[in-house]
Amino acid sequence: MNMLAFKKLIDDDGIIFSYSGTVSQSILASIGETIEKEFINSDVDVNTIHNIFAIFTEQMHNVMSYSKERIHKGNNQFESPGITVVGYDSVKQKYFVNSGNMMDHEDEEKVIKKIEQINMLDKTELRQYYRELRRNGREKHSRGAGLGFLEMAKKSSEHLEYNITEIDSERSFFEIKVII
Amino acid sequence: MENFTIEATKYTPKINLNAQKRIFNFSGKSYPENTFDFYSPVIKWIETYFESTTNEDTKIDMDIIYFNSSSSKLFFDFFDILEEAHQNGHKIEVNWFYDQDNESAYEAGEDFQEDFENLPINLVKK
Repeated sequence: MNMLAFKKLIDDDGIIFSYSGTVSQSILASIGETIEKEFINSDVDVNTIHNIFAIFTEQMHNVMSYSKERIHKGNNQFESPGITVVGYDSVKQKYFVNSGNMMDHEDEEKVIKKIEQINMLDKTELRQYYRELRRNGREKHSRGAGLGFLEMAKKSSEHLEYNITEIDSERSFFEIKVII
Repeated sequence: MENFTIEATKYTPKINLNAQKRIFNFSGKSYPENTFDFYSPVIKWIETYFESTTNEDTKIDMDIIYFNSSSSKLFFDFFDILEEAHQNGHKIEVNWFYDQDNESAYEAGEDFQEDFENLPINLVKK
């Protein structure tokens, strides 16, 4: 592993923070806190920091809950391998939060439908739709309210970008990019 | 009725439900892994409280600096219980605290106000 080449790769993409490994609640909380502290001492606007933290948290909870590789640690607690980056796009002059994890082929259609539907909505509609789903609890399940992508979209200035790459007969790699 | 207290962690708020003073306090961050599991004893306590107390004033202070989407759903269900109790004669007042710089905390408070027209929710600037 050439660390200089790796560093150049992430520097060129404007990546400020990267993590690849096990995602669990305690790791998520520690990384979230680190990112927040790092930004609090900078001149980045408070709402932007808040949005970075919020999107990061939703993405990591998705990795923990929906990854094909998730491991049940008992007591409805899970951990999964995942990858995440926080960066700054110097062309757009915007921050972004991306993540990736293995997903089951079976989940692809549902996820694509959900994101595509969200991407059709403007800010006011997103806020309304969020409240509607929160009220009727239609997307609610044992580990969440099913509002994660909507929450990310509410805090993003652009459409949610995603990519699904087939790995083998059962798995794909799912990645999502949220621009703040 | 015994009071209910949970200390804050990195990802769960400090919760203090005081049946004698009739004050509920929530402060900190809320993004647990299993939001519904975490809050289920809180919800149970509150339901028992309204079943067993007479129609006295109850004050709820919510000073949550960050909450994730599943906590948002949980707070919705919580306000639903409060609104029903309020309509059944309990006098309830909710103070939703927000930081001036935090747009989403204010917006969230506004949305709850609109969703619960029959529950007095004050948006209080810190």
